[in-house]
Amino acid sequence: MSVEPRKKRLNKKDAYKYMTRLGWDPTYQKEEDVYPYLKMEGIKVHDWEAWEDPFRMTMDSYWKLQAEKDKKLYSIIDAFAQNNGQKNITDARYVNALKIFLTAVTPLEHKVVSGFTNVARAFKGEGASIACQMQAIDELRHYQTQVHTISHYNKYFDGFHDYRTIHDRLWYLSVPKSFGDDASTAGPFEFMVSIGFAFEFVLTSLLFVPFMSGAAYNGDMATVTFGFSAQSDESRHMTLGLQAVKFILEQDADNVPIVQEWMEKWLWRGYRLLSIVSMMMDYMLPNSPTSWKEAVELYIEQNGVALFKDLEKYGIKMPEDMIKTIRAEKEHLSHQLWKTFYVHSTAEAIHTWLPDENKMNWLSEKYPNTFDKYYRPVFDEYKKHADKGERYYSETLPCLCQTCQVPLVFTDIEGGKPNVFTHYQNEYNGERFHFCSPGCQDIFEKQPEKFVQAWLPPHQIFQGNCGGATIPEVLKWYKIEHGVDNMDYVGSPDEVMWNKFKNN
Amino acid sequence: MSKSIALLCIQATDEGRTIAEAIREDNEGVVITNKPAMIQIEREGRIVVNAETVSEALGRDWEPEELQLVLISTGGQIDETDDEFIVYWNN
Amino acid sequence: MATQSIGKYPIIMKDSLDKFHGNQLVYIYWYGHILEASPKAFPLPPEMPFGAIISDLIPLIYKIEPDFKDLDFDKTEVIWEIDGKVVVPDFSKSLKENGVGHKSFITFTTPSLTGKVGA
Repeated sequence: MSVEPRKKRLNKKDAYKYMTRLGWDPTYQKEEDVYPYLKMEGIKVHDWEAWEDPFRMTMDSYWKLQAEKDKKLYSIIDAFAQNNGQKNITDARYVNALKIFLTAVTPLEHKVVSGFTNVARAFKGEGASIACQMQAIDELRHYQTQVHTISHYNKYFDGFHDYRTIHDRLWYLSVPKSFGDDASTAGPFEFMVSIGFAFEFVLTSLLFVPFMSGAAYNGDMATVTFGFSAQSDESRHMTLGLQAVKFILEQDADNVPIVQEWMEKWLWRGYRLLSIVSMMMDYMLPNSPTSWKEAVELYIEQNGVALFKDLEKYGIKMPEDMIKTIRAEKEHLSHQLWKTFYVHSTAEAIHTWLPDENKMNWLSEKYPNTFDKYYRPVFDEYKKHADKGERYYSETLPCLCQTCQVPLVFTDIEGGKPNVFTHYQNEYNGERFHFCSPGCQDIFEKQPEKFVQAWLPPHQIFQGNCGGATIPEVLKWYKIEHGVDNMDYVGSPDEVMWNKFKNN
Repeated sequence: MSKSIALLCIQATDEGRTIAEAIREDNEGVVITNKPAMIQIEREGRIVVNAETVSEALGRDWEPEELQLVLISTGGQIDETDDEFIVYWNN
Repeated sequence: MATQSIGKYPIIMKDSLDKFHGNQLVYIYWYGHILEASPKAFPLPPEMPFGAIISDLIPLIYKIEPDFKDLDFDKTEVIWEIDGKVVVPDFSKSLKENGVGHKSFITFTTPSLTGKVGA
């Protein structure tokens, strides 16, 4: 069937130029007063016009397309709610992965709304500024869709009731919180490299794609929908991030070493941030489509390396040591994280549980070199206590890394000692500091004034800033209802509710 | 030296499926895989989405920017013109 | 790259000793043992006798370890390190007198009890 020839309209290149190039050079104010943040990072820009937007988005297209996406998205979320879609998930244990994801990520989405708005104001070039403004509104959209999802699940499951408070206070959520704080207190160019490039371009697939297919494999259509809808915005974000980096690198050769340092900092911080995703993928999905190891092989070893090959022509070097460590840790990470969450289950707003025989056999298959040798025996040991009615709950608090704020759970794989926690320490301004890795220690040493301000949850508890000295007082301050939001899945109100759902 | 694989993932909706078929027409050697709620499109070097082919397939006027309504993710650099949406690697 | 700002950047030591109400932070780690997920943190009085680590803290952290029942500080060989330096602690003297300062990291290694779990 043939159609009418497509309507002739003003070509995209011109339309984009007329609608976006509306800026001016200040005449009665000094440029450095109008744009005060442009010089402080040492980045040199000679021609802002060189910043291109491959999508050439103008405001009219933006509103039209985004409105269309939102209409479709909310119809699906409404349908999910009306049809009690939460009853079709494989198992209520799965919802605990969502609890982590939504309490960790939702407030970060909100934080980068301000982040991108600030950067849009800081940049002089219209192309850069407009793309950042659009990303700011996208992030607000993502925040909204996630809050709607929280709202729905909160009607049926525990742990969703006060995502803002627990994000600000809970120990494991200080990992994403500090990541976001670090990025949004950086200068505008570092912000673009940290969020626009390292997070949105390099690491986003490692977070979203396994998460979304995990949701699809476990019947969670609400998450699949908001995920895919958000992902379409992500293509513009990825493009913006890559464009930002290429622009900065091409503007002046002096920018290259600065960008190299930022890339290494933020890839390492991002990798540590995503260690929680490893356990979500391997242990918290009743049906796991992909293992963490497989995701690392595709998104870091294949895609990430291809990307750095592309960047070599700009003078950027692949961070070889970092990639080596990521490869070495890939068969250990998820197991180490899950056992951490298992033992600290009293102080969490999620439930944890022992992997069943099916899951352990899957883990044996996916991790032939490590699971049966190092980690099955650990879970068997915990099971001995659980079977006696003495399910193990740790009574002590962890030592955290000053930079990434993850407890020192990582072990010396590259040194051939997978049962020894890696620990590094230094001194600054007369005080001792502790780190999980040379990567984190290096980040601290380059910006010690920033990282000595870290709000480390166990230390804050010991300073008396978290509601009191006892665990019940701290849980209350965390807004965690003891015996409801925390501890093992077995025996939880979530489990009782789920069994009732399934038997009706 | 073989080129990197360009990647395009779109939603498995009515419109998405039709667009995937239009892509198959214009891109020799393209590999299209169905995944839960998603259509994964891969090809060495570059994937070209041609607005005329898609308009013909859909039976209505279609602009390259509308791809964003079904887009999930891309692997590669982007170029969008009045007539085409291209995903490509340059290495 | 240092911390960049357009004004003066303050030095704020969030975990300085004065913030802990007379206590100091101390970290404890039984080398090679992984059933507890990481080294542990405690607020302790600097005047506390070092021996309290053995009587009170180590059992609290490590009773989950199969090796724990064989850990006997009178018989088992134990190598102590404070902040990376091998020491021989005097259990009757205080933490401070033994060189355990604010945010010191204490590791104890037992060559005969390696922390292996399972077969």
